[in-house]
Amino acid sequence: MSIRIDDIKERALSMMKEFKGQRMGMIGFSIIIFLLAISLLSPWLAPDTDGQWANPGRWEDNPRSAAPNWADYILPGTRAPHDIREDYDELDRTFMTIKYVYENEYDYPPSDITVFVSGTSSESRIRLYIDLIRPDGENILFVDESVSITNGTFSYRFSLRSSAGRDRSYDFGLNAHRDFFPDDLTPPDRESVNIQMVPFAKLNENILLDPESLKGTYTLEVEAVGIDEYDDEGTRVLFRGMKYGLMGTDSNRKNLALGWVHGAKYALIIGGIVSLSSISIALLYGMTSAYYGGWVDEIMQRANEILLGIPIFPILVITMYAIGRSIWILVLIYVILGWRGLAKIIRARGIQIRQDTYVEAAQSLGSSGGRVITRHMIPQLLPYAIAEGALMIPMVVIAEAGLSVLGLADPTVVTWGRMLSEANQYHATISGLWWWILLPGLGLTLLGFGFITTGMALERVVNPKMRQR
Amino acid sequence: MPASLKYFILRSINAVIVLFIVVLIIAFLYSDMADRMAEGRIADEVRAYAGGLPTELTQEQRSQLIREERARLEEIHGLHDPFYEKVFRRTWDTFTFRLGESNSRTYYGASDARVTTIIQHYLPRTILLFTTAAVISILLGIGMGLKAAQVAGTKVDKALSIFGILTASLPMWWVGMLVILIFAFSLGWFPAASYPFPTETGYEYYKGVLIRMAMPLATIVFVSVGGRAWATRNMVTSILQDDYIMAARAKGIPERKVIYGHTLKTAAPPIVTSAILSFLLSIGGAMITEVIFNWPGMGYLLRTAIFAESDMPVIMGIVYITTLLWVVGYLLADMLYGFLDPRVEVGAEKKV
Repeated sequence: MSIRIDDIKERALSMMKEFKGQRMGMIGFSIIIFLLAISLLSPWLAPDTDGQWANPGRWEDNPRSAAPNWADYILPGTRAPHDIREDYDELDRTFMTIKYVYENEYDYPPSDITVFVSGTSSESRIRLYIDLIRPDGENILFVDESVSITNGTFSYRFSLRSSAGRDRSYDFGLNAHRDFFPDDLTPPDRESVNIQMVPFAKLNENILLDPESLKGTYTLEVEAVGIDEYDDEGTRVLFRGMKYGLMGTDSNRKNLALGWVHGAKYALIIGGIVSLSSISIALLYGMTSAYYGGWVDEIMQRANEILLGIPIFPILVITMYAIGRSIWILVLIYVILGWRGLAKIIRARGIQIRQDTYVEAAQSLGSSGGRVITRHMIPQLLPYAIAEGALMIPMVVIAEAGLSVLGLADPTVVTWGRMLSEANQYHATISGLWWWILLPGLGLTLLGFGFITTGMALERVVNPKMRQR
Repeated sequence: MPASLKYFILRSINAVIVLFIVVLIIAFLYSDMADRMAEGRIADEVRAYAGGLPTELTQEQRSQLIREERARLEEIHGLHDPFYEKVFRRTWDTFTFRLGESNSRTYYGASDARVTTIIQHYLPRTILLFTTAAVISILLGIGMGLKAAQVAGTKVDKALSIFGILTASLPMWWVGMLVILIFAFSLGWFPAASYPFPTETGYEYYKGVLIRMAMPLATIVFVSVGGRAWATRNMVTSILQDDYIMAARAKGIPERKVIYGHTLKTAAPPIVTSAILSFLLSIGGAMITEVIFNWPGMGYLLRTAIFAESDMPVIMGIVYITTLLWVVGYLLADMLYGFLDPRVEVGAEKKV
């Protein structure tokens, strides 16, 4: 008994040594280790993501459709970073005015300014003004409103993307446009205008249709007439960025980097379960069939051929549609059907091994069938089965992604497929939000490349005949 | 009985069994869902009925009438039939192409609500795209593979191998998204969506279809051709090591003739069948690619039925037709292999 274990150990060690010599295999293997590390660290790398993906409140503070931070290095122009101001820069107690100073040095100015104001007052109503003073001395008054006080406090939210914010921006742009084209009776309508950029645009003839960033110092002023004190907790300003994080955000403000981490985790989970179960079932099925031969083999092979004829894609569509949109149903179907092809190959190789002398020797020494299979035949074929099983992982993950795009995404988890299906649903392709498409897909590609090259390198190690080609 | 006939019969039986299993699964899930939907509909109708009852009835009379109405509706919808009977009925209906009617009022642009009509409306476009792509990819792939085998070991050969491995691991529809991003969004060469289909006739119609087809077609070919070439190359190079090829070379037969004559003769059956099979396997990916390009075929129909309408009869119909096409294609590929390579025989490997 101890001899056999030593044998296996020695064989595994020599295989590892040989595997290290395969360059592509080592690259692929490093990718797998990287994805595994990210998955294991996911609770710390990306907290509150999994169950919160569809909860808009979780992503409220993020910018919409922001490119990754590194976009500035590969694409022309500079983008405003995401800038959250918890504290104001200046407080004028005579008029109770607070000021936020913003240096715009970017070709693509902030995508939005969101202002949260709250405070206390002994009056029943206060008057609230919010305006933006531009470097060229122009002043855009966004809010001039009476706000009612309940229980001595109030809170107010304003955004450039709100309808009031868009109205003021458009009016500002339209006035400038009229200065340049006094006779233009049909100025561009608000739908065709790049409205988020207008407050930060140079006052020139292109302000409506092709605005150009006006660089310099902007001051955002909030004035609340009749207020006693601003509430420091509830008063803050977001200069939402045009770039954000390692992977940007989608059009619903979700941080794609956080989703990506969980995508890696689920990819390895579903791929891993299917791959392990397929390897085990295929080994048992193929070996049993090969060892016993005769009518047992005949029946098992005919049954396997029937399974091989079942198309997995329609089965997945119908079960996930009718029973539930869950990755576990997908895993179940693949566990039931995934082993069939591998079992056929294992059986063919098992028949060769069965005729080897050491198997015959074990049999003549009185070993039972089960013992010969588990002790002598399976260890021979295990490395080969693992190599083949590795190739299944990307297949399953890509299937999950594809079904998500068809509308069968599991709503309880974040997968790369779900991110891509949302990209398709919200027309990321025709809006040019490349990071939303590129990065989750890159996850699928990395996973595929990692496991395919590793599997192929393993195949070469365990099957030396292939190396000659 | 000749071996080929036995092979043929066994394969056909296999195909029928596979089809039966899938149809049974469809029928089982369909009956289950249909029951749940019928219960919902009955509850609605009973509520409407109760609302319309005259007010002067006593409480007992009311509940008596409601009970009777509910029983009547349940009878109409066949809720009390045994479940196996429903499954059996549905199985038979599916086999005989009585696929029911769509829940959707739009018919997805087809002329009536029957699922068969709707599928007939969409299927030809899938077949057009898919077979064109398959033919181009198979011819191009085999050509590239043969070239690579001739120059095995060189940089060109290695580059092709890497291209094959890389593209084989890519999801086809994701490449489609990138293609749209580059060629429709950035460069603006092609329309981003294939839908709506051109309405003109004659030359303009074909031109419109071709422009819409360019990107999805290029995507499918790009993703599948590398793997095809790689498989061909491997098959050919392994045959090139055989003794009879060495003998042919030793006789001084030119290398071109060795490859295109001797080698291809042996390599053709596995190359052709594996090409067909891998195309059948990619049918799911191709249907999702249709979704990405809004190419109005079966995949697009499936997504619309799932996403917008939750239209069960249509979904079940698509699943059945897809399975049927797959099973028939699989059978044909198998037959073709048996036909091209007469050595094939059921259970032959046993006598090794």
